[in-house]
Amino acid sequence: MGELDLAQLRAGAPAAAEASLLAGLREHSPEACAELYDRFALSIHRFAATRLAGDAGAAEEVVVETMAWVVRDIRRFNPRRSTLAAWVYGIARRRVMLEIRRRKRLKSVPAEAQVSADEIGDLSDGLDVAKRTTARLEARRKVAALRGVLLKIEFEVLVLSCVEELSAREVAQVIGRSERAVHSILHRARKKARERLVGDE
Amino acid sequence: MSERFDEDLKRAASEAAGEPRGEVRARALEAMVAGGRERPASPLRRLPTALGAVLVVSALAFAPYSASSRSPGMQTALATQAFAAEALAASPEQGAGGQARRENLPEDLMGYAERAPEFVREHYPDDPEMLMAAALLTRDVSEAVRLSKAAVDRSGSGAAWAAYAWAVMETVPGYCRPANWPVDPGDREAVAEARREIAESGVPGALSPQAAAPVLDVLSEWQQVEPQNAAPIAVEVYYLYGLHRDEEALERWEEGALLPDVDSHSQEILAGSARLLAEMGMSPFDALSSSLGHVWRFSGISTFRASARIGLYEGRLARLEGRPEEAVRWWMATIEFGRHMQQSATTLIEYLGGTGMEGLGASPVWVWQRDSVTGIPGGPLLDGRLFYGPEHEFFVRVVGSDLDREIRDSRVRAVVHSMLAREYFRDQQALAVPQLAATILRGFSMWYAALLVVFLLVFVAVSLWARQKADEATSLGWCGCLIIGVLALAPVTAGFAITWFELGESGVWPGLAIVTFGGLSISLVAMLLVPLIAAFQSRRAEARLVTAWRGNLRRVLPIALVLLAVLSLGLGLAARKAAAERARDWMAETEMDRVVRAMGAEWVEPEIPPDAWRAEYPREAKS
Repeated sequence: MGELDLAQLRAGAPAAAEASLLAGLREHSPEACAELYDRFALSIHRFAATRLAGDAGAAEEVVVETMAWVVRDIRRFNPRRSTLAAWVYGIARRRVMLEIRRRKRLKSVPAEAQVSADEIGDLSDGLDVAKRTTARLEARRKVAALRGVLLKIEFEVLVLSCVEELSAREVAQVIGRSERAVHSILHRARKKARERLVGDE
Repeated sequence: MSERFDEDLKRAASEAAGEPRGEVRARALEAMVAGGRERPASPLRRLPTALGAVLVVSALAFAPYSASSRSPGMQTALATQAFAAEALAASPEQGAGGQARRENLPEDLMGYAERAPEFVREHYPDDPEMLMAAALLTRDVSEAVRLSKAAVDRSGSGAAWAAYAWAVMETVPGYCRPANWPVDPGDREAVAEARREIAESGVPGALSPQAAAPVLDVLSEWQQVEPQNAAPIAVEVYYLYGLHRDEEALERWEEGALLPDVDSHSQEILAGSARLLAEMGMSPFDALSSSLGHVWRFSGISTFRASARIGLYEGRLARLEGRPEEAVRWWMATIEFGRHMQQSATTLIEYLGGTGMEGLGASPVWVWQRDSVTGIPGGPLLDGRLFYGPEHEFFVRVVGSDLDREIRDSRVRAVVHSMLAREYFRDQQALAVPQLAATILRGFSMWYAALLVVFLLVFVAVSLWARQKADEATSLGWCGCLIIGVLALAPVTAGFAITWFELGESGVWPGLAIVTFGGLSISLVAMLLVPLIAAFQSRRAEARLVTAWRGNLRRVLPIALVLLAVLSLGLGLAARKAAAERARDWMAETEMDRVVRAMGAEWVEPEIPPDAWRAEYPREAKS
């Protein structure tokens, strides 16, 4: 599914459709679950991978756990307090934090240096594997460099706002801060990030 | 510029992340449809929470049950038993008994009184002690007669006969003569007024032989079983007087005054009553406390006192009608009866009954008068002294000054002992010590339960919203939570320990309130403050301080709740055990033994204030 369609799905779902989705999720209906997955899985995967230094396997686990938790706790979701996107990202964020804590207890090869063997073997789209791998590693290094110059909270707000395209209000709901704080953090993060990217370039 | 940056970043992030593999969708859908986490939680993980919840609920349920124990009632019960008999004897309609006595049982005993006869018939049909106790407890007089007769048939002991006599007495209607009113026979107007009011009250001025026959038969049988016990004679005199057999009454009164023992068997009655109530489900300590509160009704002492009033009145009447020897016989027999009752008393009520009887008999010769103008400071007799009675001069002329001095000294000693006995009642130390341990344990069990309720409410309050966020905002481990929980409860526990050691045998400690409330307050504040302080260190980088504080509270409070539940339950159960043990110890010796032991030398050799009597007639007391 293309990103434009995803953006439309995330940003503009009519109230009635969302109510129907929520009702279906409460019943654990397969159709509602599939709709939820299609709507958020890619974004959550990207968000998690960005936070987890590109670790695709861990990001996939975060996707699965986030989806399961969303359905399990759907009755606690209050549409008057936050949007569904903010709520889902909030759950994803906590799963990511748990994964980070868990990782601290384990020794592992830094994710930036890893290239998944599955990816090397995946030739279905016909692209040059070497070119694709190189492009991915380059993208990861950029993201890692950004992560290195920003504070955790700055990086998180930047990702949620610029990459995941959540509104300032939604970001505030996800991270538990005020909107004003989000604006301030985002401004600082952009400034630092721009300086870094300009410097690189 | 900004938009380009966002696009570049987004592109880089998307490129770096890639997409999830196809199988992830299937796994996610499976987990979502199942409605739970991918890895279901083990049931054993819930066990500590379940156990903790059971403990907390048990502690909260036990707290009101523990609080219902009436250990402070011990003081009230003793005071009631000591002084209520006097009040009852002062009421002419209730001179000897009456159904009203049974109907005025305390509220908490009503249920037991209803069930007692059936309970004893079912479980203890051949136990005379239980039959006797049920007879005294039941509100049905005819049932009381049947049960006490059964006790007599099975044991024939003096106590069973006493219980039988008290029950049969309640079937006999009351009577009232001026001696029971009471009134001075020398005051003709007062006597005429008394006769008029007695007539208006409807209470007959005499008993019929048929009405009195049953109780006289019982008293006769009782005396054959206990020929050295003057108690049945004291009651018999009352009924002979009701039959207007006054000369016979005087002879029997004198015969009774010669016997050394006046035993109303109140000690056995008390023990039986406590045992019955405990068997019926009351805690042993509460059973003893309740029994002390109601057993005095059936001890017959009010009847002894009524007979003493008869002795006083008839002696005065004899004096006025020129029968000096008869007057002295009545008064001396009454005095002797009172002395013997004091000497043979096993319960405090018997002892005080004896001092009252001696006082009545001696009042024509030496009278206790409140002397507010020249009270005796520093001694036990603070509110009066002895003065000549109205017949002092006559008495000395008839029997001599030696006997007069003997009566005076005996009277003073009896008054001092009576004052000491009242101090024994009022002395918190003497009363609190028997159940002091239970009182302290129960008190702190209640305080722990109160803290439990407060912390439970705080836990609910901090868990009302964003629980998961709070839990993940802190890195405080369970070891740290345990340390915080224990430290926070340390002040109130220290207060308990200090109270336990300080109160000791004294029963009174000025610092009690400060230590108790101080410890509670510090614990309350510590439980809220320490997690907040810990939040500065333990919170995650992204978390807010308040959120981390809530997370710490959510981890620390369950541990504190379980600790409080264990302490509250443990102390409450220990209090019940201590109270039950004290109840057993209490019944192991007679009440008078305890009084003498508690008062020590002060009782055996009481200090007699030098100014306890005045060789003069009393002046008008100034207000």
